[in-house]
Order: sequence, then structure tokens, then C-alpha cells
Amino acid sequence: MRVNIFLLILVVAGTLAVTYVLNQPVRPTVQEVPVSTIQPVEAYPLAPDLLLTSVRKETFHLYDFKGKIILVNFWASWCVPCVIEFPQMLALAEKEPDRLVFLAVSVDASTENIERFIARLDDESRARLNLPNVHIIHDPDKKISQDVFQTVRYPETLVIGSDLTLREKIIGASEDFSSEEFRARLMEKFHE
Amino acid sequence: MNKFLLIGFFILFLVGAGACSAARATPLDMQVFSMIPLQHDGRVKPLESFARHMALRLTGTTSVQGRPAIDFLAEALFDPTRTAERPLFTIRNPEIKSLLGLPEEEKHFSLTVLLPGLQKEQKTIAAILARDDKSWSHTERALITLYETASDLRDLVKSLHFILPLRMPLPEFVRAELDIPASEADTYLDLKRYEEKISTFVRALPEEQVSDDLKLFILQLSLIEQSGDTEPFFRIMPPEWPLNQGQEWLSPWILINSGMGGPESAAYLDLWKDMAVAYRAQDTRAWQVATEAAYQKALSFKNSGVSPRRLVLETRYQQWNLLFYSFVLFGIATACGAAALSFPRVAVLRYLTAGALIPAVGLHATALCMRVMILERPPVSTLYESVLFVSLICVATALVFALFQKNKSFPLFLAAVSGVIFSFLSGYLAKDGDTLQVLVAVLNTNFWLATHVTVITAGYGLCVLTAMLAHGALLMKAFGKDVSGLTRKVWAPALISLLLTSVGTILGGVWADQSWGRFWGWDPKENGALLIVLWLVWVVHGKISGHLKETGFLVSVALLNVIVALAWFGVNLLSVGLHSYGFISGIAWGLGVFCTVEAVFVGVCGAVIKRKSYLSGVATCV
Repeated sequence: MRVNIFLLILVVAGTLAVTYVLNQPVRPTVQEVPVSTIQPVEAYPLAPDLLLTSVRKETFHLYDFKGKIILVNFWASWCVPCVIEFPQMLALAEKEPDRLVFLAVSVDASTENIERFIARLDDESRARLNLPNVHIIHDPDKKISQDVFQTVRYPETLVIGSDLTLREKIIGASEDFSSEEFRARLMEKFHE
Repeated sequence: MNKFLLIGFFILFLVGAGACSAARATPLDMQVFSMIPLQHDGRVKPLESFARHMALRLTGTTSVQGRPAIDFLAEALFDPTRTAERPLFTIRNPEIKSLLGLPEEEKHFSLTVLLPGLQKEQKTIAAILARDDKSWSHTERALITLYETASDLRDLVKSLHFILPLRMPLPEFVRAELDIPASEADTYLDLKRYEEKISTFVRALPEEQVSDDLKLFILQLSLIEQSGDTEPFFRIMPPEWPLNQGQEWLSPWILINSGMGGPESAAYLDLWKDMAVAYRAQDTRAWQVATEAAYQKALSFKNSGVSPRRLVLETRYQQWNLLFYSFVLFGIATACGAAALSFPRVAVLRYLTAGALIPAVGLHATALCMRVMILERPPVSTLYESVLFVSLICVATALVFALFQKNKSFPLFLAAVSGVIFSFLSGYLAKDGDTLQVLVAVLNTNFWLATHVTVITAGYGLCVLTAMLAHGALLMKAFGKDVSGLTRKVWAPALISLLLTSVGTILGGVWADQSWGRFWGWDPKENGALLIVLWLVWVVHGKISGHLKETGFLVSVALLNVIVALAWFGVNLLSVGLHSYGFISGIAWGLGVFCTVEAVFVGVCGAVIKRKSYLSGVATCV
């Protein structure tokens, strides 16, 4: 009987000792936590092919620009941020004549508004409107902006990769399009 | 004969299931519509689940005014005015009626009637919400519940406002003047494209030419625009742009207002518009085509995480309601089992018990398997699921036990009773709606859920079954029957229970070490698990050493139920510790009653047995 009691005390003491040792605060296992929840994208969605007519009455398909980055900017003459970023985009188009196309899709109700807007641009920007990689498209019924790209607020800019896939949508005037950083990022990421 | 009875039971069950389905109020086929995915409560689910969740919040049942929840959802989305005018809210509290300016004699109110009162009492509601909810009075709690439910319904009926036909059309003279194409039913989004034209035209119009129609039309557009400024409630749009993929889904309003739309979402929203048109026209063919196209489109979004198999499975899980039918069958089995115990010579009663139990277990197991496939994790991660799992373990083990017994009536009855009790309990835990919830991050580890939680929960199940066997033995002994054979049969499940709960507890420690950096932290849940192990160790040692005689052993094992209930549910009352997956309020009363009933039962049985033993001792002496 005494032996049994001794064994019982020994077991209880041993258990307490083990618990005490194991229960010492130890540093939790550090696990790799992903910085963002973005999942890897298997494939980018292909941009829809669109038949476009510029205000210069040139007709072309979006897919005609395969091999170049396409910057589709939805703007309006009455939209203040658009007025700021429009010249930046023209400057960018001038710097990248072979690798970038700038499609400026105006949602103004009338062409007169577009003309007034152009008239207010500085001379340098106005001259850039004649670049072969710059096209102004009038979309008064919003068949392109709203029906295809679901854009109802302006400005919005789509970045279409040189492989004609939809890469990015820039909402509002959040980018400095004339900056070297933006140009470098654009060319590095979207030109293949 | 036996086979005949079993088949008969199946037929009865199938007929009953068919008769219980709710009557349809619309000729439109909702099957495909019910499978369209949305994101709600952190996971992608079919509209069927969301509809049931909404119905449950509104009415406390999974139907609304006798119509299936999915019909109600379709109406709320595509014909919101009708839903807003339905008296869906039941208010009996006279204080709330008086506060919201509602007629005293009525008790059912529509959203249209409720909203002005709730709007007026915004400050009162905000003041209540600013306080700790524990200090709320009964009326305040009811008011907040009403406010939240009404807000949810308001957000729901506004979800697709901008693609529904406008109540006040564009005045014809404006249309003609601005050369806007004629349309059968203009929507806000249709006219948004002419916003600049219309506003320029109206601004230029002399004051006297601005008709009432035009004023109302403009007011309507402005109200719809404002209604988009709400919580992202109805998240049906998977993020389309690569940078946003893997992030939360968007509600149609947020999609439009945030500029996150694109070609895919534009096409998808067009299909929702087609559904709206078909629904409003009650055009069955167009509805079928539109819902099918929308479903396929929803599946086609890249990296949206939508699994068609899981969507179909979850829709079926919700619609079939297998757990309800298994509950009914368990009830029938219990009745038959009780009759079989009372009339042991009537063999038919035993067959009937088995005949009801087998499909009940089948349905229960099927429902659990479906949950495993839908959630892709073991079915033991919430308190609700653990109850379902324990129920299956109990019933299945009792059935296996019955296979090896000469007298099958008792184990069959035991299986049926445990099925009923746990089904009832799971129904109580599921009263708040969706039980297919996303787990907190630390628990969302399939390996440990499959090992630690499954083992410990199986241990709970075995403990309950063992305790129920002991209950039966105690009761029989109290009636003067010899239970030495049954007592021997309690021994094996008690040992298996000890094994499972011990292994489960140790595995839990290993998991805790990996997740929280310590093996043991005296957390209430850990202490509860340890308590069961220690109790069983004490009982087993007591039995082996001879300190516990037959009655003492049976009483100790019977009280295992109380220990399990305290460890399983009781720790949730403390609302402390890291096992935050199972906290529920309002079970204290139920748990108290259970423990008292158990104590009284065991105490009375023990007293009766002791008295009989004393009397028989006296008689022997005499």
C-alpha cells in the first residue's frame, strides 16, 4: 500500500514537473504571412476587339495595335482631373512612339466640347495630338466607356498589354503619366 | 417481411418529403437562379443559402409568407417595390410601436411603413448602439434587431435599383428634343449615358417649362444615385481586374461607383438585367435562358474561386434539408423503440425501430458528407458541427453495439434517443441561420481539424453513449433487474472513450504548441478536456481497484454526461480563452437544467438501489 502511495505521489509530481517545463513561455513558431491576399493570376483576360473611329475619321480595330501597349483614357472636357492628366499622357506618347498607343476616348455630349478642350491646351500638347500613336475617339452614347468597360466616372485609364490582355485599370487621376517611374513600370510590366 | 417493412418505411418517407416542399408562388423555375454564386459572410455560396439566411433573419423560418426563400429573394431583387410593401415584419412590443409611430392594433408591418419611423429615431438607435449591449433592455434589444433586419432588407431591395425600369419615365418631350432612342423601360444606367445632355438641357430650360414630370424624374435619378451609397451588401460581382483578383467580391453598386468594372462584369450585369426583365414579365423561357447564361458567366470569371460542384452541392444541401428528415425519423424510431422496450415480444416494433433508424443514419451521414465536400474540411469545426458529428458517432456506435447483442431493443432505443436529443440540440444551435461558416484563422487547419478535433469529438460521442448505457443500467437496477451483464458492457466503451479523449487532448496540446507557442495554457477548453480524461481515469481505476462497486461505477459513468456537457458547452459560458470558435450566449439556463436533471436522475436511482439493497439485506437477516 505504501509503495502504491509513493508511486502515485511520484507520478503526480512528475506530471506537474513536465507540465511546468512544457508550459514555460516559448517563442511562437514564426510563419510566413503573405503580404497581400492577391492570388497569382494564371492568365490575363483578353481585351475585346473594338471597331473605333477617331475624330480625324480614321477607322481601326483595337487589335490593330497588337505588339504595343495601349493606354485607353476615358475623359470629358468638363472633368478637372482629366484636364490635368491629358497633357501628361500626350507627353508619354511622344516618348514612346513605337511601343505605346494612346487612345483618348471622350464621353462629351458634343464634338464642340472636344474642340474647345483642345483649343485650351498648350501649344506643345496640341502639337502632340498629331502624333501617329495618339487617337481621340468620341463616344457620346458611351457605347465603349459604359457598355464595354463599365466606366461611369471619369477619368479612368485602361492599360492593355502588348499581347492585347487587360492588365490594369487606373481609377481617377492617381498617376503621374509623364513621370519616368510610370513609363519604366509600363514598359517593364506590360511590354512583352 | 422485414424487407417489406423497410421498403414501406422508405416509401412513406419519400412521400412525406415530397408533401413537405413549399408551394411555389411563381411559374419561374428557380433552380439555376438558386445556384448563382455570391460572396457573403466571407465565403462564396449559392443564392439559395443567402436567400435562406435572409428569410431566417426576417421571419425566423426558411420561407417567407409561405413562399420558398429563393422566390422571395428574386422578388426583392427584381420587383423591390412589391417586397417593400409586404408586411414582413412582426412587431408585438407596444413600446416599439409607439416609438416608431405605428398603429397599436396591427402587428405586421412593411418596410415602407417601418422606414420613416426608424429614420426618425436614428439618434435613439445610435445612442443604444453606442452602449455596451449587455446593458440593453429587452425593448432596446428588440429595436436594434428590428433596425438591423430592416436595414438589411432595405439594402437588399436597393441592390439592383440601377438596372431596373424607372418608375417615372423620361418625359417624351425631353427624349425627342435630345434625340434619345426610345426604350420600353429605361433604367438608371441606361440614362446615365445621357446625363450630361439631360442636365445641360434642363439647366437651359426656362423655369416655367420645367414640368412636374421632369422634376420628379430628376428627383428619382438623384434618389437612386444616393441609394448606391450603402454598405456592400449583395456581393455578386467577382473582382475582374488582375490586381484585385483574390480580394472581396463587389456589390453592383460598389462596382459601378468604384470604377472596378470591366468587360466581363459589364456583360455579367447585362445578364442580371435580362433576368430582371424576364422576372418582371414572368417570362419562363426568357428567365430560363437568362439565369442559365448568368450562371455560366459567373463561373467563367478568372480566379474567382467558384467551384460549380460545391455550388450545386450546397444548393442541394439547403433544398433537401436532410437533417430535418433524419430528425423526424429519429423521432419515429424513438417512439417505436420505446414501444419495443415495453412490448419485447412484439418483434415488429424492433424492426420498425431499425427501419426508421437506418435511413435516419443514412441521411445524417449524407448531410455530414455533403458539408465536408462543400467546406472542404472535416465536419467538426463549430459547436453545431461537433453536435452533428457526435450524434453520428453515438447512433452509429449504438447500432454496431446492437449487432452484437441478443436483446437488440435497448441499444436500438439508445441510438434513436441520442439521435433525437442531438438533432434537437443542433436545431437550437442552428437557429441563427447559416451553419456553413468560415472558421477563424487559427482553426482553419485541415490537418489538425481532421486529427485533434475529430478524435476528441469522437471521444465526446463515445462518452455520451457510455453514459447513456449507464443510465439504462441504473434505471433497470432501480427496477430490481439484474444488470451485471449490462455493466460489463459499459466497460469497453468507457475504455475506448478514455483512449480517444486522452489522445485527442494530447494532439490538442501539440496543435496549441504549433499555433500559440505553448503545449498547455490552462485554457477553459483544455481544462474541460483534461477533466473528462481525469474523470474517466478515476472511474477506470476505481473499478479495477474494486473501490467502485457496480452501483458506484454506474453512477460515476452516468455522471460522465455532466462532465462532457460542462467541458463541451460549459466552457463557452466563460467567454475567455483562445478557443473562440464556440462562444454562444443563452445556454447557461439549458445547461443548468440538464445538470440538475442528470443529478436528480442519478441521485434518485442511486437512492432507490441503495434502499432496495438495504431492504433485501434486512429481509435476509430476518
